[in-house]
Amino acid sequence: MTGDMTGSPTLFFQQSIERLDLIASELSNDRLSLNTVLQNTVEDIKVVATALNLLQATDFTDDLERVWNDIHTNQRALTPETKVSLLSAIVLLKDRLLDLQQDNQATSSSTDETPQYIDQSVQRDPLPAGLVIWDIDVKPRLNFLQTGGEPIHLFQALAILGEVTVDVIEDSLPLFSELEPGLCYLSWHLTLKSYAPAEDIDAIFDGIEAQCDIVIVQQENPNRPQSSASTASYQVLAEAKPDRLDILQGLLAKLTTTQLTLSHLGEYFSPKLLPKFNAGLEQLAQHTQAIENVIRPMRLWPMSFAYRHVQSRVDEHAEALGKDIKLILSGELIEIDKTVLQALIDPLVALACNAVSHGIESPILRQQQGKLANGVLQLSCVIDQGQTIIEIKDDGRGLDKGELIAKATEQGGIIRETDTLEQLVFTAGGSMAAVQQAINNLGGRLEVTSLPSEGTTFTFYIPQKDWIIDGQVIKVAGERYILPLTSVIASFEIEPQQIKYVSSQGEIYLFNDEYIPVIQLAQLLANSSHRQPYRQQLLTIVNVDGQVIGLVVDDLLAQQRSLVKSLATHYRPVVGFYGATVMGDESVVLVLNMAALIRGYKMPSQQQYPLADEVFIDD
Amino acid sequence: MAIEVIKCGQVLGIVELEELYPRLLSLLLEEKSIVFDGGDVEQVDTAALQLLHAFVKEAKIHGHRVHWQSVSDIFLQSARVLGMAHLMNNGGLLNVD
Repeated sequence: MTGDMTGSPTLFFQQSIERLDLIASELSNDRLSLNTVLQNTVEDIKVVATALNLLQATDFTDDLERVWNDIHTNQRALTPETKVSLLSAIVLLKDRLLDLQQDNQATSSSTDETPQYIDQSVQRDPLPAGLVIWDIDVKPRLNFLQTGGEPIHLFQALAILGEVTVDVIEDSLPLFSELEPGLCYLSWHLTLKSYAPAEDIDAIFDGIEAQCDIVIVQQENPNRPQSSASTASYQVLAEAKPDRLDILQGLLAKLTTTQLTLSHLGEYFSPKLLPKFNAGLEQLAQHTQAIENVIRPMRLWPMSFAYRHVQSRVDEHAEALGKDIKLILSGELIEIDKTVLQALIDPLVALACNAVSHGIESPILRQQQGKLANGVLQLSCVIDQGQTIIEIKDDGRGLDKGELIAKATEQGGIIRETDTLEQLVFTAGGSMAAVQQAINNLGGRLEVTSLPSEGTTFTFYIPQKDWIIDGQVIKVAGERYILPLTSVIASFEIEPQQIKYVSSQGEIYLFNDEYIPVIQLAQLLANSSHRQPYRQQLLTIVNVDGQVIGLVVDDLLAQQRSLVKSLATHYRPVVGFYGATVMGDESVVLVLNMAALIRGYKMPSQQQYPLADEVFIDD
Repeated sequence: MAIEVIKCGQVLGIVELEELYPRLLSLLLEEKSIVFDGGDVEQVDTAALQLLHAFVKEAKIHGHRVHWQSVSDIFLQSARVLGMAHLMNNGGLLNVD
């Protein structure tokens, strides 16, 4: 529908007025939500009026749009009265368009009056339905910070749920010369405006009750809507909750409008329209960013949320066992998909508690071994190449393979000689099996490394659901793939004879004065040892986990930014691929995970019939 | 009056206060202007912000001049999250030169 409003002023007036009539009629019958239709119409009128240079109409729509945005961002309440005001505004907008249609010249008085009228109306409005104001008092115990508590993380988590205002109370803060660094003397009063249920707010403070007094009280809403006879017919609409979905719908409407502007400008393009065209592109970028800003807090929570659970349980365990354990956390602010984060809490707590109970020795034993009496447990989180990597590292006694085998056998597990440390840990059962299951469910994997008396490190690799990469599109054996640009060092044409063969290393290429291994990507992807004879091809030099490798590819296409959807979360884990992305021509292309591909690959040195010239290299 | 510049480093947390507190305490007894440089701070916690706030308050009582040469976004953001940015402003803490 939006695309129909371009073209001549006559058509613009006719279609705008028709749409406003339709909205007024639908509104009066309570048949539709205002959200998208009004937004679309106002935006469209604004954009087309701009394109047609009917500036009087754009001023008016700017004001209407501003009020509408305020409602969506909760700065104003959406009530029956507001809706009446908006309906009146729509009628006035229609009048304005009729005026403009008649003489192409607006009278300034009504333009000025109407937004003011809307303003006065909405300022009296109560809170939107579902929006609740919470008073939250946070009074930490003196040792709260020393035991790992961090108000910054708590308040950041609260801000995810809605609008937060924070007042710090410093009545108990002593003079600097009298304070003890590390003790918490401050307390806070927060106000949270949120649609979130009470449980979500409680969940943020879950596990810290022993170290912090928390009082959460819902404020009474003194402005409950009072329905009058004249607004009764709008009551049903007023109950519609203007949540993030509404905001997204509004943003979608803006995107559509910008698209309309750009296509209109494209149709009548001339160099003097270039600034408008650029402004349209700028708007497009802003809308995309705005959509991301709305979606992010809906999906992503900080890692500190999981760490808090770990901290609390580690403290309990350490105290019960008489162990002095220093917990070092990093990557607290890294944001992770909320569902993934929730699924990670139990495995993290299980591994951390396991480290406290079984990994880290008692203070006496540690001192006997020349270690510091207090053990160290480190939790870190980083995001790399579409994976969330979480490490739990202790400086305890390390895993004893013999003990693990004995325990696994006792549990009835079947032990093979080739079993890795990971397999033994998880066959040994207990909470470890649940950890493995949880990580598998997330499409992730787990690595364990351990050294006797030095400690054990568990590392989770969890694929992100969707992520954006800058990639190099390549063509191999007739198919397109994407290589993440972060791993690409260089790409260039090669002659077949430039690739040499040495029996000990397979095919190699002299790059930057060093011989690097060369792999035919087609062969790697087919997991085949059958090599194709070389034609004139391209060599892409990549860095895979610190090793420089030459990949033979057929063609290099564009470099582009892509939204990668994880195969693990949307389909099932597929070794060697981070995920898939939809290209501009709507075809689906796989994104290569070179590290995983190389790990599962038999190096060409083991192949029998070299196609390249054999050379000898001095070591 | 002599000037003492205190660089906050990249991490300013509860652990770092063990060194910072005695240093600041001794400065209260000296006739010096104090300049903090928080431009490199990548991580700051409540304990550190509380301590700096208390220091600035007491330094003013003692007639010291306290300035901030720069503060990083993370520093400022953390102070805001705790509702402390305005307190620090009044105390001169975030009056970045």
